[in-house]
Amino acid sequence: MTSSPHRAPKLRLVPTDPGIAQPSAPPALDDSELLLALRAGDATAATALHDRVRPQVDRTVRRLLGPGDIDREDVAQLAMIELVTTIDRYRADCSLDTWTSTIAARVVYKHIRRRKTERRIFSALDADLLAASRSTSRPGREAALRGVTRRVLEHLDAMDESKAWAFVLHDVYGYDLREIAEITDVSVTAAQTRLVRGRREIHERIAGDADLAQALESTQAEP
Amino acid sequence: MNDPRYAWLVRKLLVSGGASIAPVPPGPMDRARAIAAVAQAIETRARRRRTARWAGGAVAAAAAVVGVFVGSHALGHVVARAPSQVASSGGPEIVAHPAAGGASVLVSGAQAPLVEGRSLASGSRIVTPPGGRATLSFSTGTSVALGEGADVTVGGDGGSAVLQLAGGVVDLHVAKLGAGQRFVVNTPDAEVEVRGTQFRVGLAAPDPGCGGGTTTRVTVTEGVVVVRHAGVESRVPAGEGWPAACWRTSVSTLPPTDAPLAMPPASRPLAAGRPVSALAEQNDLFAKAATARRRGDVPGAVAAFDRLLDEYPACPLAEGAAVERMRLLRSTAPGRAVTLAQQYLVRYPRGFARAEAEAIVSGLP
Repeated sequence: MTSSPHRAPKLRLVPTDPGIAQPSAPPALDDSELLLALRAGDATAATALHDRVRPQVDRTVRRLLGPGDIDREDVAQLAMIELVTTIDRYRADCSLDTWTSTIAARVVYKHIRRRKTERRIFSALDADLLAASRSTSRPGREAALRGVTRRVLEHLDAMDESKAWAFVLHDVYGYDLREIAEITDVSVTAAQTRLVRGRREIHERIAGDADLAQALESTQAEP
Repeated sequence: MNDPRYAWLVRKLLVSGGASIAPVPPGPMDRARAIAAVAQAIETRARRRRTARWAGGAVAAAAAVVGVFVGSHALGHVVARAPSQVASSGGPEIVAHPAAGGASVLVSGAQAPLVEGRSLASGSRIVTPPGGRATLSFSTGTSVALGEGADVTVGGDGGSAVLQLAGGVVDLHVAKLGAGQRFVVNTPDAEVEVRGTQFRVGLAAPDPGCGGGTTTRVTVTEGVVVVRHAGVESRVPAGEGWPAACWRTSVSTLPPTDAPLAMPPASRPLAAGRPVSALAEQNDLFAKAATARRRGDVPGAVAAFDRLLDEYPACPLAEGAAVERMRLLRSTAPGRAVTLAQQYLVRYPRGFARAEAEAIVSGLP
């Protein structure tokens, strides 16, 4: 720094003044503190919130969207923003992880429904199976399993979308009816109806596809 | 059909497909972008809630405000600094939001209109025309409002944020700094470093009798600011200013257009010239209570929550404090917990802990 106003000031590292108390690292926030900070509009909690929920968001997005989807990062970011904007709806009647997973699934669900270029809505399941089959020591069986899965997914893709989603979210991904209602933006009753009808429809479709039904039975019968 | 057997087989097939494949963690850039987006979402949400509260006549919490004013007279002797001199990579993410009148961004000499949501790299120079305004949101939670005729170059290095102010008016809301973080404002003849959260810096016409002719003026309303000028470092605490002899007059001589751009209302009046940050006190009390609770010191935690709720019954942390206190007392003083739960239900009929309060009132486990 110079006394002349015409000379540009230079930024330099300044040694710590021992007389000035340095701010200590913020303590790790537990979930209740994190939520309080979030509700209070404390933007400095962003990093803590991100690091707390990001693994769950990634797991959910990866599971529903697939590991190689180009939109994965954007969707994960949207999910975290959605988590902030919907935090008032979180009543602490489930864990923060569960709520995070539900909100992330909701964002993925909306994203896939908006995506008009790809009809395969359950491609993530296909990708999962491909990854799993590459690590098996029984390639012949896994190839057959993969063929069966592909045909099952074709049936799911051909179903009414809302029923297929209810079936997959509940029976495959393990979301309960209340969570499915939140994800798909319907009442719990409607979610239940869709689930029941979805199960029935996939059953009838496979029952009407004798080869697939037989393959499915034999695949499941093997150890 | 009562037994959708094939649905069950499909479920078994798909569940065993590949549920154990772990996701890949985001890279540093993706992480920084996501954190910036989350911080922005929190701020946006808070802003909307504040607006709603103001509309309803409630008092909003005070936020940290920094005002930086550069008089137009200073522009004549500004020596332009290359972006690389004030910034390097690795600083916080910054997103721009142009307002009325717009603004321009200059990167590597190329000028372009500043568009909403533009991410600003270190070294970006933002210029607002007469009547133009813009806001910059930092991933750290800090926001910078540029008034008309402002000329700001943003930069940062790791945990540091550096603003090079060459003209115009800028208001800064600086988020709390963590260990190793710095926030520095460079004016043409001084360097101002934030050590707290709320202060004002202004520039006025040079006066040989005032700080050796410096154009910089600083007013600190909360925390501590360090001003470095002519090789001398001055620590300016809350309620004081810099240079000591003339900072008060310089503020009053600022023209009306140099008024702070986005000064939020304080939640408590200023007492005897010394400003009080209610928000900081509230945060401190809540942090004290949380620390006591973590230590297992229930009486200490309850006492801190009591004090917070007695002194700031309408603060943003009040509901959370009431719930935490109720939870603490549920096992140690059930009678008082019931009373507090009843009060909570009256005060927050749609509160987030309503079910819990009802259970306490009903004596349910």
